[in-house]
Parts: sequence; structure tokens; C-alpha cells
Amino acid sequence: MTEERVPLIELKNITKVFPGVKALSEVCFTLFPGEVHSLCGENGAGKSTLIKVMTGAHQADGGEYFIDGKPVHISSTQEGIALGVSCVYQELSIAPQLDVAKNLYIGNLPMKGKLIDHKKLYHDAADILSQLGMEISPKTIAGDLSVGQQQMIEIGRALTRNARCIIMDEPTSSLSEAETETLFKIIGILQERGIAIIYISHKLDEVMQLSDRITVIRDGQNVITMNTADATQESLITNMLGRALDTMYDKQDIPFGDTVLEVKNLTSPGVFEDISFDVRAGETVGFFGLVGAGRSEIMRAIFGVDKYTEGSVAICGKPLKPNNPSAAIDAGIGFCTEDRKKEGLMLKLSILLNMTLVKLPEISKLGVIDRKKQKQLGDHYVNAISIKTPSLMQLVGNLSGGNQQKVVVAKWLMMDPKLLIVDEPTRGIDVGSKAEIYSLLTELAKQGVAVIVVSSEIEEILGTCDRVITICEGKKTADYQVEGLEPETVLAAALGHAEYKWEGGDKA
Amino acid sequence: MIETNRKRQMTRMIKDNNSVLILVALLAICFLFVDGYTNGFYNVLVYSSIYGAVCIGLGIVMITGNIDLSVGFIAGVCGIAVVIAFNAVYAATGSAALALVVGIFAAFACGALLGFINGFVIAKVGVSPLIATIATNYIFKGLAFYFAKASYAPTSPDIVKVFAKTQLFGLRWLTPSVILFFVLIGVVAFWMHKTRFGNNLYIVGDNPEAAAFSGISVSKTVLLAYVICGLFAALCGFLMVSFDGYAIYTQGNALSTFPISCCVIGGIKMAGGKGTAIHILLGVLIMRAISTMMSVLFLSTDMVNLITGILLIVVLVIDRFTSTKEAE
Amino acid sequence: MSKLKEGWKKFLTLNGASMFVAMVVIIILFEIVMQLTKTTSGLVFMTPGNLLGILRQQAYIGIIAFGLTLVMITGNIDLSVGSMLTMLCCVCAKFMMSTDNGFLGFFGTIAIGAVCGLLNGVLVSHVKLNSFITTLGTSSIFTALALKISAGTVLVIPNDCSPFFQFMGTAALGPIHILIIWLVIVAVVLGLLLSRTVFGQQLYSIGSNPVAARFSGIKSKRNICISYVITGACCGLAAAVMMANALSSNPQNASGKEMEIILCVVLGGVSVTGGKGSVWGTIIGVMFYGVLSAGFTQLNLSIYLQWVIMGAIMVAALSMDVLKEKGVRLWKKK
Repeated sequence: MTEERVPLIELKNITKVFPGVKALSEVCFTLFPGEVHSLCGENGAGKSTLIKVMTGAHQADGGEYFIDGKPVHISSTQEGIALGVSCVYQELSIAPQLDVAKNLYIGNLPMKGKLIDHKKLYHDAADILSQLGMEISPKTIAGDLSVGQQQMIEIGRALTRNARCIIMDEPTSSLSEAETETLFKIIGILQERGIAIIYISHKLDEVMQLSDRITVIRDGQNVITMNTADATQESLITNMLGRALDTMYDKQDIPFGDTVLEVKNLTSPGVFEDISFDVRAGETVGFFGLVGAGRSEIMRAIFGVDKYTEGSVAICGKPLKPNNPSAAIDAGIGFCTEDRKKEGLMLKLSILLNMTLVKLPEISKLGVIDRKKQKQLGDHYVNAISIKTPSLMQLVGNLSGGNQQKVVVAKWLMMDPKLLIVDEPTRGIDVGSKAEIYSLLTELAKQGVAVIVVSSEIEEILGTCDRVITICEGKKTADYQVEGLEPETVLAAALGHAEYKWEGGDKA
Repeated sequence: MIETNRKRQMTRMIKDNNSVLILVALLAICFLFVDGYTNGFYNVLVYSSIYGAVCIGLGIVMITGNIDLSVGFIAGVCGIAVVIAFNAVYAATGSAALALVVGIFAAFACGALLGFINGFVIAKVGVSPLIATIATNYIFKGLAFYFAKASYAPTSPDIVKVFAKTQLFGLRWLTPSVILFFVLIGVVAFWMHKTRFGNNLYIVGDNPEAAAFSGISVSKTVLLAYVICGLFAALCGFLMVSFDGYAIYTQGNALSTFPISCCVIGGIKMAGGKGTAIHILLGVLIMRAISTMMSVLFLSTDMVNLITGILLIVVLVIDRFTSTKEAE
Repeated sequence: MSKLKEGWKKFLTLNGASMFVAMVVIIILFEIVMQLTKTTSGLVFMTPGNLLGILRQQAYIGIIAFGLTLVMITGNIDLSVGSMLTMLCCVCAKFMMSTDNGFLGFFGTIAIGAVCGLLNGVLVSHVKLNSFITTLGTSSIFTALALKISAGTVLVIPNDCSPFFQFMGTAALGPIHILIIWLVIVAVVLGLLLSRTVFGQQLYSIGSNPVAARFSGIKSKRNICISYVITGACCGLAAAVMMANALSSNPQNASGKEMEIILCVVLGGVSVTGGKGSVWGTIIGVMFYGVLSAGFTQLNLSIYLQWVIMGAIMVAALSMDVLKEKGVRLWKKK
């Protein structure tokens, strides 16, 4: 970046104070037109606050904000949008019952006098869709689209507002590999048009691949801004943590026991077919595949929240009743789901109740809960897996992402599972908590628990598992021992490439 | 892919407009099998035009994803306001026309005010709409009962009755109120489709967060929806006085659940973001067609209750079992 | 001093605590106003007899409100409780008039109430219909049935009917009327059921996050259904006790009661979206309503003006509650 160019956005010594917390202190940030600038930092480092200051959702308590070199004071997101700063939010802001065109022009409908110009609306919308390379009708109902397509609509929405800076907050967290590819392509197109992108992600490889420059934020202060060419993943992690992370993964050799889970020819038409595998006590099996390949759906079927039409599931040799989660729990399966806020936690209830929810029938007599036992159990697990909270009665919604995930894990640990399924265990969790979760999984395997890890991060699978099963379009494409395995091999299998197609062996 | 899309669109169309089928089936049964229905049919239109306005108002509120359990008594209070204002002005000036104008104005002012109270408590303060309107319903009900314990008639009733009782061209079903009702349905349908504010109602009902991110003020939209609802309730209150020739507290009582039933049966969803003025019209016609059937058959009102109850549940069941993926 | 302050703060975080404080203030206000208007010496409003009278008056509503608390904690609602009560009164009267069997009249009514609750429960939980509209629908059906059963007239149970039946609604233990005893029994049973049992705690989790509840192996359908059955049974009990007390049913007398009952539950701190509240809070809500209504009646205020004032007070109370929740942040900001 040449120094003479006027930055599109320049933040100088921005400070933001919340009651009791200094969220940002003296943060500086510059963004040039056509640049992809990544923002990295652990959860709670202040990234979101910084973005909110930029979009106008928050106002800075100190410091200066320049757009095109002119000082501005943005007091609402609308003003931000008017100045060309748009944000694609982590939580999707799609109106699912309206059509695509109206979603694109939400709050900004083309008008003819006092009336909406429907003709122009659908015409312009079709134009935007073709710019994004999407082959859908602007009259499609937005709720019928995939999550990835919906996210594209949000980017399209920024385009309709002539955004000059688009902020993307964890855009790929719910995208499939193919959709991520498309997103990257579109980012390239936007860049060529001179639109600047601020890209926030926990996935460092994406950051390295996409961005021109990277800024790392820690504890509300900017640590470093560097050109991507000068950065390595290790140096980023070091800067984010403020310490070097020797080894994230903590894989150990654990002897396997008897077969715990046996899945035979599991089929659910259109979702997955003919899935067979087994997992032994102490073994950690990874499930890798692109988002939408059917990994999570297989786990949901095993656990009994979804139906399957053919095949069987057995735990320790005993067949498991289909479509019955409570039978699965009784048989000893624990399931930490992908979306912990939606499927794992009651955010408005206490940590104690959340942790002991599954255990309640066991610690009660004739339906009456033994409160003393409940509290003892809670205390024990809060200490054992170091959940940081002032009290057991704290509402789960007030905890950080990492601690929330630990509460989910504790819930399943409490029932002494024979098999624990963890689906995307580290999504949206900062690096520090990640390592803790990994060592927890290793600890479990040591105790003879069979573990299934579902993940879209190859590294995570290779770092934690003994064996990896790849799923492509609902079919099992490979079953590898992890030792000595190359990531490329796994990815190729997950993409369903013929030359890597796995044949023979213990598929029967 | 395209085929499944088309199929999905078809199911969606049938599902969203099942009230058309219900109305057609209902009318077919009535005309074919119920003696005297042809003679009594004008009632469907006339009554719809009297009570329909309040349903339009409630429908608009429901599209924003809220509810108003107090509309019936807003209408009731407004009806009483008409009579009070009318009588006062008539006594003072002796001009019935002036009294009527002031009376109508009083009704709308009153409706807007009561609607604003609801809207303020719900949109600005943030009380749950269900609970807030149960509480305000107490206030409005108390006012209605307090002011109109006995029937309360305008001192010069003829001019008031013009709106609901004149039969144009000698047709029993064609009163000014019927024309007004259909015009209003048309206007509201156009307004919700073509204006920015009308569209905002849907966005707010569908996804308030998305609306807020896009610079639409959710609280302002909801507040205005309640005020509009109050205005429609006021119109209904006036027409009730015009139709009955007097104002009485039971007018509000009779409208306690009728508007909700109309809207739901017509196809307005509790969750918001769905439905048009046409759906409201269909719902009102269905409900009135049932009532008329009962009165033609000399059945008591409890049968209307029974059928309404069953129909509500049937509509929900149809909705549930024809749902595409979004419902999951 | 600081300890007292801390204890006070802790108390205020309890469910329904602010409503309790408001109620005490209102009781004292009523007392002051009555002292000013009346010349007799001594307490007028704050007498134990008067307060027990309020409890007795609120017994029917309270019994149903406790049941409804369970339903509302799961995030559902039951708008049919009012018409269900009306219908069950008619059913009870019919039982007593045709058989004069006290056991049948009492327990039969409760059983039929439970069946009505089961109908609501199955529609809401197993068929998965929107609870608001569903119970609005069943409410219409129950109203129709009530009119059918009573043929639109007041049903009167003969004065010399089964003594067991009459005992259930008219007996008293010293100054404490049996209605109050019923109220307390239902409150204690359902309160403990909610706070101390697996079933109760699972209701909270269903209301808080139904999807996560399913992933935790909780049988949501069964639990929601049971909560409706309990509410139905509570309506049955209320109807039976009411008939035993009054010996006559008016098909109109409970219309609109559901609004009153829902208000009591919400005033007691139950969230309409579910997952929050308790039976103990509902007791406060029921009492709050009862105190207001009794106070205004004793001040000879017209019932219609009472509605206006009570409506306004309730809007204020609900608003305060919401603002308090929002306001926590506002205060800290300063």
C-alpha cells in the first residue's frame, strides 16, 4: 500500500468504555479502497466493539474517525450506511417470508414518487444477483434459500446501498466449502471495484489466503498491523494470545477397548445413504466433510433426533431404538451439537440446571430432585473443567462462548457417556478455550469413552483423532488411520475425487 | 430443482390462500343446502361491512407480529364517543350535520388515542402485546361500561343511521357501509403493497432485527400500526352506532374474539409477516357467512361459537400439515 | 446497615419481590385512605379478617392461576381456562342435580376438567398447533358446550345435597375458610412440583429452549401435555369448589376470567415467552389483584371505574417490570 493514498477509513486512538470495562483503548486502524483487511483477536478482544464504532452502532468515547480524510461523527447505523459503511452480520438478518428482491432492497426500496416501483425493484435485483453470480429468481422467497445463499443476499444488500466498505463478521462460519469458494470469488470482484473489505474470522488460513493486511487486537488494544506477506499463522497466534502456544493438540496413544458404537447401512433418502462404521472404547473418530455433506445429519440420526429409513445403530451390541433421543441418552450417548445456543443451552436458565438437566432423573427419588447432590455435582464439574463463573446460579447467557461450550460438555460428562459425539466443538471459540476443549476430549478417551469429532477443519481432525471418516454428498468415501495422513488426501476424499476413492477393507 | 421449486410455490400458494377454498366451499354448501340462505345472504355483506373495519385494523397489527385483544372495546368506547359528541353539539347548535361531523371526528380522535396508548406501552415500553392489551382492555372495558350502562342513543338518530341503513338502488345488500368497506379493503391492499410504510409492516413482522439493521424504526412502525388499528376500530364503533341506532357496552363485548378469529381464519399468521387485506376480507366473510347460516337455520349463538372454535383449530391443522420447510 | 441493604437487594432479585413490595404499599395506602374517610377507630383494611377474606375471594382464580403458571412456563398459553371453568360449573351442577353423589360431583368434575386439559394439551403438544389460537378455539367450544349443558339458564343444586359435597366448599378451620385451604394446598403442591421435581425443572428448560430440551432427551410433548392436564384439573377443582360453595351456576359468570387469571400469572413474574416465573410469584400476583379489587370495592368505587383504575395500575406495573429489566443497564451506565 502506497502511503500517499487517502485511506477510506481511518481511526485514530479510538477509545470506548463500557461500565467497568475499557473495551477499546487508543485503537488505530486504516483501511484503503480495494483492500481486504483482516481483523484478528480472541473472543472479547474488542473486534466487535471496533466494528460497531465503525458502523455507527456505538459511538466512541474518545479518538477521531475519518472517512476519505474528513472527520465524521456517525451516530447511527443508517448514517454509517449512507457514508458507505455496511456490515454483513454474523446473525443473518434475512426476512424469511419476503422475496429476494425485497430483501436486497430492505429499507431502501426504489420509489416512484410515494409508491414503490416494483418494476425497477425486480429489474435491479436481477442485476445484483447476476453480479453475484447467483442463478435464482428475484421473486424466490428468501426462506427457501440455503444459508450460504442468504449470506450472499446480505452482501448484495450492501451493494444496493453503494457500500464502499463491507464488514464481514465470521462470514464462513456456516458456509459449505463450495459456498466459501464463491464468497472468496465475490470478495475478489468487490475488491476490483474498489470496495474495501474488513474481514473477521477465527479461521487463520482464510485470513492468510484472503487479506492484504492483518490487524491483531488483544484486550482492546491493537497489537500489530502487518502485511499478510510478512505474517505466518504462528506469528498471528502468538500476537493474539500474547504468548506462544506450544501445541494446541494433545494427542496421546490410548489402547482401544471393545466396540461401543456399531452403525450398519444407515440410510435416510436424500440426506445420507448406506453409512456403516464402528467406534471402539477409547478411540476418537473424526468425521470430515464439507458443510451440507450430511455429517451432522448422520449424528442426529444416531442420536435419534432425526429419522432414518434403513439400517441399524447398536451401542455395546444392543440395538438402539430409532428416533428417540432419550433412549439414546439412556444407552449412554452424549451429543454436543453444532449450534450450542440453539440446540445445546437454555440461555435464560442457570448454569447448574443446564449442567444437570440430563442427570436430573438419576439424582432424584420419585421425581423429587436431591438438591444437595445436584449442587455437589455442579461444583465438582465447574472445578474439574474450570468453567469461569462467579456462581452456579449465574445464567448461562452471561458466559463467554468458551465457557458456554464447557457447560454443554459438562452436561454430557455428568452422565458418564459411553459415546460422546461432538459436532464442531470449537466453533466461535477463542484459541485459549480451544486447547482446553481438546485436552478434555483426550482425557475422556483415556477414560475409555468412545469419541466422535465432527469438524470442517482438517487440522482439528488430524490433531485430535485416531481415525477419520470422510463423507461426501451423504456417502462414506473413506476411512483412514490418521497417523501419517496428509491433509490433502482427506480433503480429496471429502470432495469425492475418484482417484482417491477408498475401496475394500472393513466397509461391510 | 426447478421442479421442486415450482411444486413448493404451488403448495405455498394453496396453503397461503386456503381461506378462498373455505369460503367457496362454505358458500356452496349454504346456497345449495340451506333453505332461505339466498334471501338472508345480504346479511353477510352488511354485517361484514359493519364489523369488518375492526378486523382490518387488527390484521395490520398482526402483520407486524403483534396482537391486540382490546380492539373490541376500543370500538365500543369510540361508538360511545360518537354519541356523546353528537348529542352535545346537536344540543348546542341544532345542526345534525355538524353534530355528525364532530361525532365522527371525536370517534377517530378517541380511536387514535386509545391505539396510541396500546402502541406506546407495547412498542416504546416493551410490554408483551398479549399482556399489555389484556390490561388496557380492562381500562377500555371499564370506560365503555361506565359511560354506556344503558343504551345511549343519538338525539337525532336518522342522520347517523344513513351510513349503515340506506339501501342504494333499492338493493338490500348495498349500503354506503358496504361500499366503504370494499373501498377500504382495496385502499389498504394497495397501500400495503405499494408504499414503503406498508412494506415495512411486513419486514417488521417477519424479522424485526433485519428491519432495525436496515434503518427501519421497529418501534415507530409498530406504534403507528396500533394507531391505525385504533382508527379502524373507531370507524367500526361509528358504524355500529349507525347500524344499531345507539351505543351500548355490549357492542364492545361482542367483538372480543371475533376479529382475531376473522384474521386467523382468513390467513393472517400469528407470527407476523404474512397476509394481505384480501385475506382479512375473506376471513370476515367466512365468519359472517357462518353466523348468517346459523340465523337462517334458527340455531342459537352457541352453535356459532362451536363452529368458530372448530374452524380455528381446523385452519391451524391445515396450516401445520401443509407446511413447507420453513415451519420446522 | 450494609448487611440490611444487601439483604434487601437480594430480596428484590427474588421472583415477584417488587410486586410484593408494591402490594404492601398499596395495602398501607388503602388503610390510610380508609382511615381518612371513616371515623371508627382501629384498623379497617389491614385486619386479618379482611386479608383472609381477600384470599378466600381469590381462591378460584388462584387455583387456576397456579395451573396456568406451569403452562406458561413452557412458553405456551391457555386462553380457555375461563370458559372451561364456566362449562365445568355447569357439568358439576348437572352431576349433582341428577345423581346427588358428592364424590361424583367433586371428583367427576376434576376428571372432566383434566380431560378438557388433555384436549388442549394434545392439540398444542402432539399436533403442535399455536397455543394462543388453539385455546381461543377450544374456548369457543367450551362456551358453546356450557350453553348447551345449561340450556342458557342458571343451574341450581338443591340445598339438601350431599353433605360431603357441601363440606368441600363451605367448611372452615377456625377463621380459615376451606377455600383458602384449597388455595394453599394447590399452591404448595404445584409450587413444590415446579421447583423440586424433575418434571418441574424440565418445564423450565422446555420454555427456555425447546430445541435444546429435545437434544437433552426431555419428552417435551408429554410434559407440555401434562401441564395442560394439570391446568384442566385445577379448573375442575375450582369449579367443584365454587359450586359446593355457591350451589348455583351462571353460564355467564366466568366469561372473561381467563384475562384476569393470565394477568395474575404475569404480574407474578411469569414471562409470556416461557422459562421464567414460579408458583410463589403467582401467589403474589393473585394477591395483588385481590387486594386492589377488594380495596376499591370497600371504597365503594363503581366496578366500572375499578376496571379502569386496575387496568391503569396493571399497565404501570407491567411497564415498571419491563423498564426495570432494561433499566439495569441504564443505571450502570451513569
